[in-house]
Amino acid sequence: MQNNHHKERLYKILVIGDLGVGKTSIIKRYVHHNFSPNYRATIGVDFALKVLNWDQETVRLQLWDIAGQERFGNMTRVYYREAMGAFIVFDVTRPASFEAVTKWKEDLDSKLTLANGKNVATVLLANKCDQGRDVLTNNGIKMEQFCLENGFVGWYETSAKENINIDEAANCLVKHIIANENDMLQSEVLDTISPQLEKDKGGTCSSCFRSQ
Amino acid sequence: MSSGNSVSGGLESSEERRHKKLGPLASLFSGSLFARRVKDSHPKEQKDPGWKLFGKVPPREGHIKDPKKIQKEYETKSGRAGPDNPTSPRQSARKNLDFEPLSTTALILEDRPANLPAKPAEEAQKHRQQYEEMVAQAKKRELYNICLARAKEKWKSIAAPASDSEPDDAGSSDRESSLELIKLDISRTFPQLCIFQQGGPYHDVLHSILGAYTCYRPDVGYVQGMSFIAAVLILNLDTADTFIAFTNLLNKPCQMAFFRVDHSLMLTYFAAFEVFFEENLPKLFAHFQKNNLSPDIYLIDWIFTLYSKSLPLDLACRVWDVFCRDGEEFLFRTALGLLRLYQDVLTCMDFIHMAQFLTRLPDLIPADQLFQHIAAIHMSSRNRKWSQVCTT
Repeated sequence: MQNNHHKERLYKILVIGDLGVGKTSIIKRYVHHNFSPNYRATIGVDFALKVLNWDQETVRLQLWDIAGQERFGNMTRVYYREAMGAFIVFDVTRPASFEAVTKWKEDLDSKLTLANGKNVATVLLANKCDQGRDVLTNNGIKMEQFCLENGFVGWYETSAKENINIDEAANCLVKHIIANENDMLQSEVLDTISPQLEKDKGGTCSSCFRSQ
Repeated sequence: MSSGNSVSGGLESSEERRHKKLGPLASLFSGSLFARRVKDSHPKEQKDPGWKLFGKVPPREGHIKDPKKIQKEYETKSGRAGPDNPTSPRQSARKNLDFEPLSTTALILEDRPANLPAKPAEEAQKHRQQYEEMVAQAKKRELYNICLARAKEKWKSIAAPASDSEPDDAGSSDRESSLELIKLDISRTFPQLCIFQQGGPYHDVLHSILGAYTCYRPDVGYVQGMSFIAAVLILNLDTADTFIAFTNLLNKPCQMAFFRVDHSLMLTYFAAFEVFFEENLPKLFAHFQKNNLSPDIYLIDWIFTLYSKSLPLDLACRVWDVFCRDGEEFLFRTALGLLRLYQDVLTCMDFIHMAQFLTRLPDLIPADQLFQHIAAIHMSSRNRKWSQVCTT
């Protein structure tokens, strides 16, 4: 906050979903701009860092690539802590991985809430869309409806292989995370008297502070 | 055993050859080393001996029979040590040993027809030994074959999705779908080697070993990381031996704790690890604490795969060598050795860079330096050894 022109934001983002749906591939595409059909299975958790320029700010995304096997659940849930957003990924060619989406979402929401009690922004990724859209077309599921009902802020058909919609999905998530954060700061400033903030702001109103 | 023409000679040399081939894995395979170690340090762990495959504990065996011992006894009794006393041509002995019946029931020791002259005692003894060897071979394969047959049945029922009605109740579903998960993981096991992927020469073997294991231990099922361990064993052993070594290896207390994802036990291991971490590398330990980098973040991958995923394969195999000798303690010692080796780099990093570094170690790791750093780690804390710290 000392330097208003080069403010840095750091967000922890979870990437979860069933085993083998392409979580690691999506991250590799997003961060390293490449794809390999030969990624190794993730055991535990892997990490990546993506740096974005966002409205003249630097946004750092700490991506937590969490192993998909349900059995690891008890262990990997500690990794949800302090995350600001999440991708839930399924494989359009494997209906079971889509059925698991609601499980992942419920699990996430039960383990993690923002300071204002809201759920973290979550974007649904229908990955491997280059290989067909069986799950999306056969079940007659209206994805918009599904997202609304299950609290996703958006969904994208993605392909890590063909580089489809990965950046778009990430931008959507970041947009919602920032909106959430601004929301929280605003309510904080409105609801509480914080001497420290007052001092820093030097007398400007809360909305001026927000826009800095 | 140069001219080893007798049956015993043939046996010994094939045994020796196998030992040469297995190298340090031989002890793992026979299970005797682990059986003894486990007994020493964790006497309570021994209460469930039924799971030990061909180790020293199975209750059915009665007293322990070491094939080499039997052979020695036989040789002294019969007064003909292999090399000096050629009797039967080597070829036929080899042939007999290669015969591996699929089931022990196929081996019926028939009475000798009455119209034939009695066998000389020596020959009778020799035949009995050949027979026992054949039974042992068959037994070794039998359990694997049974488990594999069961796995194949399950695969068939999965392949035919006619009855999609199986309820997916929470908890059990994960274990039930083990066989499905295996398929997804196999091609993601050492992909750079191109031998476990679909169409590769070892794809089916890895598939079979893991499938058989889930039927042998449905209570454990398939857990990610297993495919890497099985793959390393497949690279070193034949299929039947791989299955035995794999099941015995996973049966070790530390591996059981991890593969059953026994959270509290795992935390015990992590806590013990941190005791030695702080003792050996206090500065780095403080740096990790400051950055909230807990050991589970990097240890889970290292321990689950026994470093076979995180270290270059040749280095991983060297770690396995010592792990076979020293036991679980060495896995954690290796972790500390790695941290010690990269201490200077790590101290300059923040959380995310450390986490990235440790979950994806450099491709080129100086092997000798790593082992020097491992050797420099003291595995005693206030006069307490690893096992003592672990149990407190």
